[in-house]
Amino acid sequence: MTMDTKQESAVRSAGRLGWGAALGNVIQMELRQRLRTRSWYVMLAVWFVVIGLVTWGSVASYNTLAGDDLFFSPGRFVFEAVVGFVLFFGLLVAPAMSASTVSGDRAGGTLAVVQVTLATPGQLLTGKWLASWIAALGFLVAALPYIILAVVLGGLDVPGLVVFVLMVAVEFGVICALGTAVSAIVSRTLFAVVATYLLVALFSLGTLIGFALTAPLTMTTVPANQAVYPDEQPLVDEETEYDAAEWEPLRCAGPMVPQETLDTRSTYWMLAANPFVVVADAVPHPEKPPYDPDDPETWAPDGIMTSISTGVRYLQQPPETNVECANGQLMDQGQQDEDSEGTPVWPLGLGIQVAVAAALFAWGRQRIVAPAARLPRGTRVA
Amino acid sequence: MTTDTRTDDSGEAPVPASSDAAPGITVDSVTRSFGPVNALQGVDLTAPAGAITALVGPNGSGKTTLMLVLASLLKPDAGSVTIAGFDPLVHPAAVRRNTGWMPDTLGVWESLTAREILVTMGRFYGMDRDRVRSRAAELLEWQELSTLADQPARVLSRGQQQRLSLARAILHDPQVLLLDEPASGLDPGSRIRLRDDLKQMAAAGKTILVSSHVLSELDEMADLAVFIQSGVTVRVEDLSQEGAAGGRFLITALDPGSLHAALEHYSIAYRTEGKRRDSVSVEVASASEAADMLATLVGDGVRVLSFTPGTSRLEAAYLELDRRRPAEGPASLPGPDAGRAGAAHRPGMRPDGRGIQ
Repeated sequence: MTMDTKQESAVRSAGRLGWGAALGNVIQMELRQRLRTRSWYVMLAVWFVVIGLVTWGSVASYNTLAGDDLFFSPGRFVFEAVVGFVLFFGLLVAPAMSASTVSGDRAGGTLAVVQVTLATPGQLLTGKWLASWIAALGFLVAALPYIILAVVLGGLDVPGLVVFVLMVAVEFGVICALGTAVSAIVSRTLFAVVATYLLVALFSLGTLIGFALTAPLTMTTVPANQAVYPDEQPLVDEETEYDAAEWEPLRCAGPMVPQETLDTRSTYWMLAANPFVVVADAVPHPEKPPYDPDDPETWAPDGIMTSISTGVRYLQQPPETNVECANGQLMDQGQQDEDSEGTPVWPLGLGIQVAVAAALFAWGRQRIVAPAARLPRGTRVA
Repeated sequence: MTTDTRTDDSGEAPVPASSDAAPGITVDSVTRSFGPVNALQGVDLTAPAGAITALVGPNGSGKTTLMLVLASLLKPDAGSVTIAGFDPLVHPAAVRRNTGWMPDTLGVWESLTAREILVTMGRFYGMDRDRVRSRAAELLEWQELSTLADQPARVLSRGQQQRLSLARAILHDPQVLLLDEPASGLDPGSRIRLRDDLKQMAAAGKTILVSSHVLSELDEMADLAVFIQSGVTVRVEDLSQEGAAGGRFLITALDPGSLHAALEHYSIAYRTEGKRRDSVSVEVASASEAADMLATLVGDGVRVLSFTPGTSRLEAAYLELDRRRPAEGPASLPGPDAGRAGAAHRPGMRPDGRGIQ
């Protein structure tokens, strides 16, 4: 009797393969193969050189923008440019890292050999995803010297830097999940890679196009009247440092007339799903350092990522923000600046991306379940 | 051992306590189609434990599809399958634990070494690290791959990859072995070894199902042959019973003249064979007819030197099927298939076309 129970439990535990063991095994197998192919190293070397050129280019352009004598902490600017390009090239590299994993095994006849083991489809797909993510993170690590250079150049808040790097890593993970899922869904390796690139393009360009095309549909009207400006434009005076920006309306007057404007509150979510927006928006906006250290009224140029984040958050504002004297109210500049901080859009964007990736992942898992009822057209199981 | 624990795996669904006889493979009217192609249209098969069952059929007859169904990779459209007492649809994990599958394609991770492939696969079967290491070393030794064990698998020749594939299939000591063309690419020495190894495993109680075109090879080891054609089981031949089948027999006599005369006297059609034309071949319907003929010839004073089946028993059965095919079908198939069938009729030519190997 005791023998039976013992056997029973032994059989039951042997019937399933633990997630830890299965994932470790898949990841080890995948990484071993990747580390033994030369192409990964070649890509890594090319990547290192290209990011180096970008870093050099952004340092040089900052110096030109800031002027030779006002060289002041280009760290943030250089850093944002480097991170932006790391993300951009990562979007190009991650599909190549991930979109051939399952379809390549299928073509090589090795997928079926694993499918007849105790490893489950979910374990197999998850392990392959993690392995491709790790391989893609190698590229982020290769870019670290330049990121550290940007830190050394100064002007950086370390938490911001950590969040930036983490978010780029998360985006790599999302793209690798898309690629792994597509490679399981699609039978041909080439088609899987192309389909993944198209998905990446959908997120990075399609979101822009979608937002631009739907913007006219959000046209609305806001009642507004006329702003009254001072009679004369104050002359720009070097000593008092007046400039045009200080020429502001005094009050609002006249009859209320409907003014056309866009209400982007219903469409900005499309932009939120853009990988660049997710990364840029997750980072807390830095205190703007003065352009001229002696004059707190001047600002250094925003980095590219900060500009993206500010821009998207502005789109959350009600349409009144776009219209001067909306509802007869004079815009409070200070209030407007505060509003334009807006609410973070990255949780929404990342949520959309994760939802799409998870749906594709579930579909991909379904495609490698064995015994299979349906096969992709024109394929053999083994 | 997992043989006796089949009724214990109640985690998934109740397992039919099939029988106390050692369970092998049973296939009952299995059909499977891929879109418009009906790969399997009703296959029945029983492969008992402790025996080697040959799966024989022409190209495209559904052998590999059946193997995939048995390996729990394909779901049959209809019909039922049990392997080691388990249904692959209900208890896939139990089937996989008890099944070793060697595909007809070489699924080899080119950049991994032979040892790494075995260790990784063993881990996928839930074997612990130490056990899988020693088991891998043992199997590499057994397949004479030890010297190449730490080379990337791409440097292995086709035959060596084939041997690695066999080692992988039996890594977890499965009860049932599904071997799809295991001998292709093997040199004669390795084929003989494979044959002996399979016989040994069958003697140890394993269920072995082998598909191959090389009939002479199957003839030497199989206990049972299942013929499938166009996805249907057309014939089951028990090869363990000596001399049940007829076919062409080759007769050599010391004096060919007296042999010819005796055959002509009994109006038996014969054909001269052999380089020196000292042998003849005759067609007999059954083994007893052959025995009678031999007794008659010897009784008539013909000094018979040898009296042997001219074709292997499997070959004879296969050729008989091939011969019957045009008669059963309304018209003979055009194209390469008809050409192949025609070629198989020619005497001395093997139906697999591999006589030269």
